[in-house]
Amino acid sequence: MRPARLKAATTLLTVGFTCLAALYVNAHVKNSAAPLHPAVVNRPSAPASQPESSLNLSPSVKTGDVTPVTSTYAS
Amino acid sequence: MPPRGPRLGERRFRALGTDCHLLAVEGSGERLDVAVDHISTAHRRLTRFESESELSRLNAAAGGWHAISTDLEALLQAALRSWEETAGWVHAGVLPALLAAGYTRPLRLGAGLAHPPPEPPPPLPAMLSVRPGRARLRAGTALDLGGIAKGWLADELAGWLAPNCLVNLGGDLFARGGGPDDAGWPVRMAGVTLLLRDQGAATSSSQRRSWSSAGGPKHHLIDPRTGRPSESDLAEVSVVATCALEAEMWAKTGLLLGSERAPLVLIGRTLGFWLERKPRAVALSA
Repeated sequence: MRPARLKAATTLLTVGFTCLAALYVNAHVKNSAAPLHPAVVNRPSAPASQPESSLNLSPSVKTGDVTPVTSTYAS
Repeated sequence: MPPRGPRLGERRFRALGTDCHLLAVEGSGERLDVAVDHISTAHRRLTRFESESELSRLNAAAGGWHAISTDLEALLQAALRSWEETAGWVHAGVLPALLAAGYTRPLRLGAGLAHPPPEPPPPLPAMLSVRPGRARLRAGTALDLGGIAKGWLADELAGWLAPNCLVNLGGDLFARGGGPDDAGWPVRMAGVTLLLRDQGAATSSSQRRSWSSAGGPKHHLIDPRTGRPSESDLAEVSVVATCALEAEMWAKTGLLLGSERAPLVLIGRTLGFWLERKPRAVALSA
């Protein structure tokens, strides 16, 4: 009988701690202590120092010499 | 007789506290009018300057569950996603900080009195819970959906308006299709003309929506770490992304991060970006 009791107690303890852990995780926000700092993507192409202004476009963004129909500047 | 180009429908109007511009190639005028009505309705629902708006009623009910519309539910979910994706930089819960800075009413009426800033807001998921048809704000907190609403609405509306259209809500825009010449919608950003096709763009600037107060100059971009207007060295950030909401989200994040860290974060997360630093102060000596 004793091994069976031990097994039962171990199982109960495991289930109990699993439930407690789940409760703890759900009750705590994922990033509650986050320093509000998004993970940085390290790319060699990132410029080391910035001029007063800089434009960086991926190849999927085309430019043209036509009259724009609208602008991102609005108030 | 010269060949006739495609018919371009257009509407310009004020809503959401800003200039709005809708364009559609071969789109029906009726659809454009419905879109204008939809944005005007969204404005009445989401403005924080009217006590009877749906957003104001949610803010007033902070502390308990409150019934919300499908649109507001989707928008609140978008706000939570934006907070998560930007690790807290885009934070819809900065309304108390905006009010303390003096942004208490539309700025065309002049800014209100500034007060000491409140405590920085708690993480958004800790202050906002959203369930189907209802939401709960933590007592003492309040939301301003500003830029998130414009980006989200631009994306939603462009998906409905026409296969070839552009929706620009105060500079947060989505260009769907190839534009009038099928070469991409020509959009002015950062001093160049971009040809956007199924792409979003947005500009975030501390130079606009800014005002003076007894405590010095203020603007509407709140640093969620401090609860004060950001002291970033960037004056303006423009972003091209896969949709207007993403562009708005990363433009604001880039501006708050500052010139040193912004490029490292924006490369790989956006399709393009423009950074402009604030003019350097000139030191005067006697």
